[in-house]
Amino acid sequence: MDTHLGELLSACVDGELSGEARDAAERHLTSCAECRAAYDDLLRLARRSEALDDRPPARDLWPGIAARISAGATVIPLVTRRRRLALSVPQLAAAAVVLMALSAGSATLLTHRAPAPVPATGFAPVSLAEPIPRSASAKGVESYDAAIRDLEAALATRSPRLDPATIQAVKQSLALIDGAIRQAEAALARDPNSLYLNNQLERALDRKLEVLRSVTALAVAS
Amino acid sequence: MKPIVAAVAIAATALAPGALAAQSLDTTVAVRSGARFELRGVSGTVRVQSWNRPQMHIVAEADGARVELDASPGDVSVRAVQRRGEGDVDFTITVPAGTPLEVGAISADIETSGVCGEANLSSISGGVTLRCGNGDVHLESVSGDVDATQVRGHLEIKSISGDVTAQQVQGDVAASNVSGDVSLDRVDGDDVRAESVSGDIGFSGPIHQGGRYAFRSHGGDVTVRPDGELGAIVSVSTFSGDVESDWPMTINPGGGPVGPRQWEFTIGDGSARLTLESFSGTIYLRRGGAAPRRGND
Repeated sequence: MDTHLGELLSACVDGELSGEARDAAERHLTSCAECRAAYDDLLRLARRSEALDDRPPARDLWPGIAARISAGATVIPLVTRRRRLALSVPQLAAAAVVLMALSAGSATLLTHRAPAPVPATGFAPVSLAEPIPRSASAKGVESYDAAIRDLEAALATRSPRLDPATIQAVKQSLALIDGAIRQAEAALARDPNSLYLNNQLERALDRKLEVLRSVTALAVAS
Repeated sequence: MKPIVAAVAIAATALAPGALAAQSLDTTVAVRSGARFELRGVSGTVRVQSWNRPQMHIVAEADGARVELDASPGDVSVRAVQRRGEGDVDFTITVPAGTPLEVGAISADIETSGVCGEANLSSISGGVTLRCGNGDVHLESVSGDVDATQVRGHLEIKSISGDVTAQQVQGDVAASNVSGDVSLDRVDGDDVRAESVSGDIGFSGPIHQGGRYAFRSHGGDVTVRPDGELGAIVSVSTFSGDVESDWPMTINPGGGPVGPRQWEFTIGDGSARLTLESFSGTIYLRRGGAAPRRGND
């Protein structure tokens, strides 16, 4: 791929490329400093936007900001739910301003689990083969907690069908997963920007959900 | 489906006329090609084997449970009904080769051999063993070991607290457990994934061009032994573990390290994607045939 990635950058960040397109983009990012820098900027924006609450700001800041940036720039609104970012490099600067303003306004809405800002320098630890983290935000973890509580309640009603040894095995497995969750959270507290650690936490939470779902489903189906 | 519960069962087992709660069952049902077999609610044992006849032969030896059979030429369904939550049944089933199997057990070891069709086998408290499958194969247990050999197709294999083993697989594999080890030996697929929370993960098999391979454990070791030439972008991540590679880890320009203990490097043509992660265990990338090393080395 000789030309710059352009609008493909947002697809890269969103993990929407596959097959040859993803491979070509990955190769280009390893050799093109400009695209890599833009990609890293987009990734930082995407990660911060993921941590934001979905409720709209009290007032729309964009018109005032847009009036102060260069004429002719195309404004692409940030979609509230998906927040797919499709911005050119000049637009990134404007979007960063918007996000900073939104972040400041939303700070009180976020809990202690929200990821801290990413340093301005250094590569964001990401591979295109992996989607950006989505569940380490406060909302994500709260959703997991609620789902896990629901499944634990559902399993409790089914557990009389399971023999004591199996119930004990399930409890031990859940305890192992809880240990992994605690380790990931402790590591994230020291390095909140680590994509790997965010993914670790996400996978551990997913794993707990899957175990609860599987056991409940098998208890019902058998 | 046309129920033939009592008639077939009682006639075959010479139980008293009218008796519905057959303690035993020994019957043969004629089926057409491609007929499915389903078995539910078993505590005891389940053995399924194959023959080259258009018939299914069902033998059940029950102890305190009732056995129900519904059959049509295209579908045979057997159910074990416990009394007050108790009662075991030992099943020996013989089906035409290639029969799709669906078995859900409460507390039973399930073993299938030589059937070589699609299979969906699950046991809550018991092991699951399949020898020969084709197409979609799903094997699952809560507290038992799960073992698959000679599968051609898509294999999903998982346990919660047992070992997971797959050997001689041609096709994609998704394997997982919480505790216990995951072993994928001679697996030949384009998309192979394994996850464990506390167990070790081992893989041996070819790494195909354009393939995707991901092996992740939280607390266990991850050992990957590619067969033949290896051409892949390799992503390695750990938090407090170690990494050992038989290939030089030449970091891609501008590509790594991508985190405090994350590396990305290219081997050969880089056409495949190989992801290796262990939060606190050791990651081994070995040339084919190298024995996995554990412990302090």
